[in-house]
Amino acid sequence: MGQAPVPSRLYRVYWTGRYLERIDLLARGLDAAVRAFLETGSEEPLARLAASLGLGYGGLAGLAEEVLYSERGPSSVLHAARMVRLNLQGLGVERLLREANMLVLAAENRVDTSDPRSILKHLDDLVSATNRLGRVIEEELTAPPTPPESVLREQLLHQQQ
Amino acid sequence: MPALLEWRRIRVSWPHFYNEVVDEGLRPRPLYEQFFSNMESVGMQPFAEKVLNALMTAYLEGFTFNIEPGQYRVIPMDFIPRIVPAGAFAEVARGLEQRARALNRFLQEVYAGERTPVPEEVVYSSRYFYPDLVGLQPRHGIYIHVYGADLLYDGSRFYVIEDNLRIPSGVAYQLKMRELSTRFLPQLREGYSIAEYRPWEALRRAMMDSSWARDPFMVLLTDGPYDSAYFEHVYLARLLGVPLVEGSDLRVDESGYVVARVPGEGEVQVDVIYRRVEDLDLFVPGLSKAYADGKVALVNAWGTGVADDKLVYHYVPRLVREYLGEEPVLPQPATYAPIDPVDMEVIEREIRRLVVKTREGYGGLGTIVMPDYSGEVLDRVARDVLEMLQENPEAFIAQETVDFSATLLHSDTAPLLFTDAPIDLRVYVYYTALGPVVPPGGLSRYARHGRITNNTSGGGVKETWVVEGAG
Repeated sequence: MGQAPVPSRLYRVYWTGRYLERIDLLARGLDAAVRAFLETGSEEPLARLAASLGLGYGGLAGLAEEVLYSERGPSSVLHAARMVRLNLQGLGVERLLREANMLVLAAENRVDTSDPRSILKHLDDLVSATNRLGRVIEEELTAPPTPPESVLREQLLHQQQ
Repeated sequence: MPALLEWRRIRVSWPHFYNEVVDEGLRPRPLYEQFFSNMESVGMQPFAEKVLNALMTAYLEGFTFNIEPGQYRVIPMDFIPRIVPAGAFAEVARGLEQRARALNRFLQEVYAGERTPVPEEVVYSSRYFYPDLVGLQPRHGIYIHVYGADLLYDGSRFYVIEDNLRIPSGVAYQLKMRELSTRFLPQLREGYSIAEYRPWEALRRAMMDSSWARDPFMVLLTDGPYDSAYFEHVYLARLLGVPLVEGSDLRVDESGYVVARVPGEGEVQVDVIYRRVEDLDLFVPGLSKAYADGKVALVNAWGTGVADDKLVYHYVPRLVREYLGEEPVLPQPATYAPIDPVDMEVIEREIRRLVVKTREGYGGLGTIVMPDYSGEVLDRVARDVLEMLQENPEAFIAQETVDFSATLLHSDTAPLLFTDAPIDLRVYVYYTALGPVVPPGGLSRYARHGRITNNTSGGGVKETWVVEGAG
């Protein structure tokens, strides 16, 4: 089989998980802040989110731009999505890569960052793309190994005794 | 004439090239008539939709080319195939077998420390000549297990314009393209009996034959997802059924053997490495020593680059005549070496007609096609190039410009438009213990800008059909 779990493969799976976590974290954080902003009209939650991410705050549009699309640092959703794709590519499982590419497409989708509603819609799309990918990862990578016939037979004998 | 071509427009930008698909009156050539009627029976709207679907699927399945970390682009594809009659391909195959034998023999002699028909200063000045390897023979004396030859067609014959003997890439592009076209547009193949193309079987055979072990453990060594051809590494590893490993997965153990670390299974001794990296020791410290000690087989063997040198290419017809006692089946354009004063005179006189290449360049980089310039620009470029050649004569070669053939492309964005583009052909040869094998097919690449077809330069991929029962 071409799927021997050599260290580099495990490493890729590990980083896929980390980047997915990062997307989830950023998306949820921004989602909560934008919702709070919509409810209260106060920009404080947004400013607090910016501070917690180590960014300066200059309005919703700037923050969303930075969190969703920044190409400069490694901490935007778009960058993390591309890294997920990069890491999954090497596993040679077409279904995983397909789903990762859907995530990249979702992350690349440009929305009007000055409109809180369209940001929320975009975040929803992102979260569902990560969820779908998560499910495929679970199906493709964590299927329990089937023990060989002989082991099963022995187990059965053991139980009967 | 199919209605399709009548109401579609063909925009011709390479009028002086031989077009393989249509004749001067823009009517399809006999080989392509059936294809166009297939295309018509698909219908224009469904055809355009299928093409878009296929392109989208290609993107989703990672059929991409990495430019730099985090940046990649889809490899352009075109669904009008390049059709080669089986008879013409048989000649190509014969010619390439001959070249493979001659080049391999050349490497055997170079690394046996013998005199070859190629002048010593050319051999020993090559960046890829490794004195450490002199005296060492890989199994069966095979150095070039995988050889990719670049060919051009001028309307009557194929010419070899380059030999790639280090890490020839691109075969997976052809395979993926075939996969997509049979999946999305199988109707286009109706009425043709297309030779099956299964190059991975020959590659697997060649890899097995490179090792002394009876049932060798084989891996494909990649330098990781940042490699521009990473898609190919993943795809080939899957077809070959061998693990895809990175440098960090391998190490040379205390007894000098190469082992792969497989968690849960401990360390497995590796017998054959199909390496898609150039610098061995950079990725696996001690790998070159393990190879030199005969403890692991490399595909391609270490040191093949010396025959890949574009100055050696100049001597290949002579190698064929001297080693095999045969006339070369495939012609190649005349080459001039700036280090040779006689050749340099020719270059000075003819510079406007020549192609100038760096001796060890790859990916179409460092290639200057003089006939692509005209007027004042040509004068300026010619002056600059000559100056460059005089300053650094050993780093370049000059070659007669061979005209490409052209092909038709359908446009992805405007389905009512056909354009023409230069096209080349890369054919892969696999050297097994029984001799070189040439699977019937190859990678057809078309140029989108200028006439350089490499993916690095933005070229696209077409299917190559070797069609039996046709002229």
